[in-house]
Amino acid sequence: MIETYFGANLLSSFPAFISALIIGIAFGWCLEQAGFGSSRRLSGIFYFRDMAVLKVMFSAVITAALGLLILFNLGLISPESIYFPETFWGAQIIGGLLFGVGFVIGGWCPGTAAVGAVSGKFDALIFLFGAGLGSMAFSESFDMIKPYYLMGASGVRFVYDDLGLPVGQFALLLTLVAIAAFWISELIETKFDFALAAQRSKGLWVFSLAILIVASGISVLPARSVMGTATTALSGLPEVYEAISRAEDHIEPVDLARELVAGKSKIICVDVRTLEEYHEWHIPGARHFPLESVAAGLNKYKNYDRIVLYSNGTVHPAQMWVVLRLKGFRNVFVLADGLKGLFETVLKPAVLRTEALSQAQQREIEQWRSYFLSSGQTVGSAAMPDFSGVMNKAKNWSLSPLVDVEWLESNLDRVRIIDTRPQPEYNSGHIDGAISLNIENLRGNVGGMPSMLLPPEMIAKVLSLAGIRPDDKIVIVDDKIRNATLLAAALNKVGHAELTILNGGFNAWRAAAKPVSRSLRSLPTSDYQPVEGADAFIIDTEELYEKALAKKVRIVDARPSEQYSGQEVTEARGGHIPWALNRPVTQDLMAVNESEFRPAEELKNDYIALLGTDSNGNDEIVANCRTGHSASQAWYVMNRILGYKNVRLYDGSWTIWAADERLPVEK
Amino acid sequence: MQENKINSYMNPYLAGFLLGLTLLASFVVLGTGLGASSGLARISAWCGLCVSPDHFLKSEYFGAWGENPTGYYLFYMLIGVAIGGFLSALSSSRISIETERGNSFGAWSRLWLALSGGVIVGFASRLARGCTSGQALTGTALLLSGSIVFLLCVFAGGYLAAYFVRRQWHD
Repeated sequence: MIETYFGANLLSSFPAFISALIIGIAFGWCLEQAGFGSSRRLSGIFYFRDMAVLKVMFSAVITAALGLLILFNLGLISPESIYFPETFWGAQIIGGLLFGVGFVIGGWCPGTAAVGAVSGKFDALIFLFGAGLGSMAFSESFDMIKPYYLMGASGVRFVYDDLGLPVGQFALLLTLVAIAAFWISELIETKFDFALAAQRSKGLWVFSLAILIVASGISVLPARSVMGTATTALSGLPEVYEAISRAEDHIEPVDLARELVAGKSKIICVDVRTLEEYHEWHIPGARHFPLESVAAGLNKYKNYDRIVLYSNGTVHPAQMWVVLRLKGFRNVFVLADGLKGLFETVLKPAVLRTEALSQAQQREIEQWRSYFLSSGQTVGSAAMPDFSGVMNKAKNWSLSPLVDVEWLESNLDRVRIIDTRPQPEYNSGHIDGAISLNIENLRGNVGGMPSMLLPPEMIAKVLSLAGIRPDDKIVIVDDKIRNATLLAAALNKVGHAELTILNGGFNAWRAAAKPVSRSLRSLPTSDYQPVEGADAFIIDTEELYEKALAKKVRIVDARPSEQYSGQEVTEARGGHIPWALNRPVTQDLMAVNESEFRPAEELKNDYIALLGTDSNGNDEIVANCRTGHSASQAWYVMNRILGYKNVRLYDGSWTIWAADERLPVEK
Repeated sequence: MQENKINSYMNPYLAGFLLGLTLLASFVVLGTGLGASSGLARISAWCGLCVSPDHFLKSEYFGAWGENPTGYYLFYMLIGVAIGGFLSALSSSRISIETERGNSFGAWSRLWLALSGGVIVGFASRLARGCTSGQALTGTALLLSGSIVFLLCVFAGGYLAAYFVRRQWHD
């Protein structure tokens, strides 16, 4: 018995690719020899000029069909080793009609155009380009086309079954039709000159006779109508399509996690990945079967509530789903988005999630993680195995811009708290483990300009001494939110990836009666290196002047309105940078606790009204105030909380602008 | 001259017989028939991924082929077709750079028709899950109902449209 690559499920292997290449070479050679490297010759059939297409195609079809029936009958190859494409009446009728129109307009079909193109036919090359575009157009409009693509789905259907004939008799009938078609073609080409036709086609006598003998032989053989066996195996297909359309084919990772943790349903998970991957890590309780014995292995689970197939993605489980459905399994489901989806939506730690989570949600995630990840499997030192870079994404995850007391309390052991309050407030009571950092250590005179954030190297040095590391997830705790945002700006200047602010500050922690500590933790110093170019969000006076002059930026002035208008003069001159908009920082905060931001939704509406654009806009926005302190808060609100992409911080602010007599001032 | 040129092609029945043997070999070795449009669509998907990977990986049709759409046997078969066609044309001295058309028909008009025909054929072969190779030739040899209907519809569509584009072959 011959085993094909399809039968062995090796069609995507290297040897199969090489075989396909060689068969392709023979295919291309035959097409060219037949003269199909010429669009004129191909089109001939549609004008009854040159019937070569019909002759060659029909000869090939009869040869292959009879040859295959012989091989089946001799038992040399099994129909299970052959891929029989399914019939979709609607798709094939519409597709066929369209194809015929395109064929006659373009003068080529895909295979012959490939041959034509390498024979130097320019029109063939253009045709191929068009066909590529057409394929893409199909993919792009697939949403719309899908009903037609699936129209008339009927599984594998054989024409002799539809006609009610034994396969052998149908083969003989087809052969007779072919012979008749050949002779009619010859007569058409000779304009019904019988003598000329007979003289021209000596080879045809031999060929006609040969196929007639073979076909007759097949038709009288005992009807081992082996092609028919495939029909019964695949007759369940329409039902399968229906199941897909009713979305009864998959289960979301979150639903699976809930059902598994609840433990009420009978669920068996089947790992469709390689055995090595299975041994490395699998869903607790999952089974792994060799491909050929999956159906047999799963038989005892037929009465389970769910059989869930999973892999890294969904392609292999989807294929197996179809096989199992056809074998009569009604309870099979594919894990949507595979393990990638599971890791993203179920197993991602709460601390790494950007969305706001309630305590209940966090507890559920913890439950899931302990169910899936603490089953005693050896998965190396990491808590999770590395699946095709799923975990590497962690670098791009960032904490939400603000966290609340509950979140902080349940994540205490995962974060590094920095307390910006001065003495004696810090020493007399702080959140356990919080380290003290006075923001004035991060500012100073830079190039004659007072109260500027220090250069990145110096900020990094301060962080190193405090024992802060680049991969720390920092939560800033303050008693004045401007101090927290200024620290955030300093951290941003060295490119720190993960930071957030406790909304409400230490006051909120104390008000919630959470535990307070007075002890100091010793912490080894670190070697903090600033990220190259991370300080580009700081804008200097010169750049701001040029952009303001060209009206290329929106400037948000965070000072009180008296200073903005010039009624109150605190620096060299009174007033504001021309075209600046006024938004006093206090308006961002709750009246009762000035360490607490107003709800993001309110802030969002305020800033849309102020700037005339929401966070989807790409306009450059500059935050400025008196010394750059309040401006850091405006920067944090616009950039982190509201998500405006292009927000810069004018660190020098009014102190520097007002002192430079050359710069314009507006009152 | 014209007569000579046609005669220099292989006897169509012999060519058909050899093509049939090739198809049979494909069944026996690969377990599948011949195909061309699928390889072309894979190349199209590959181009799409080069331009906008996110978009095409998310699309339901091309996206299903993953990040490496050309890792597919029919892509290699199409490359083979080009090689085989080239070797054959070379050995029979039939390579000539030209835009094939009737003498009284403009080259640009012919190319426009080739392009439009190509787009329609590319689209239609995705809809029907195959072209003249994968459906008409392979499917008919397997005696599949849908493929035979496809073949009949191709000719129906072709004969319906033939009249309107006949001028491209007028000498």
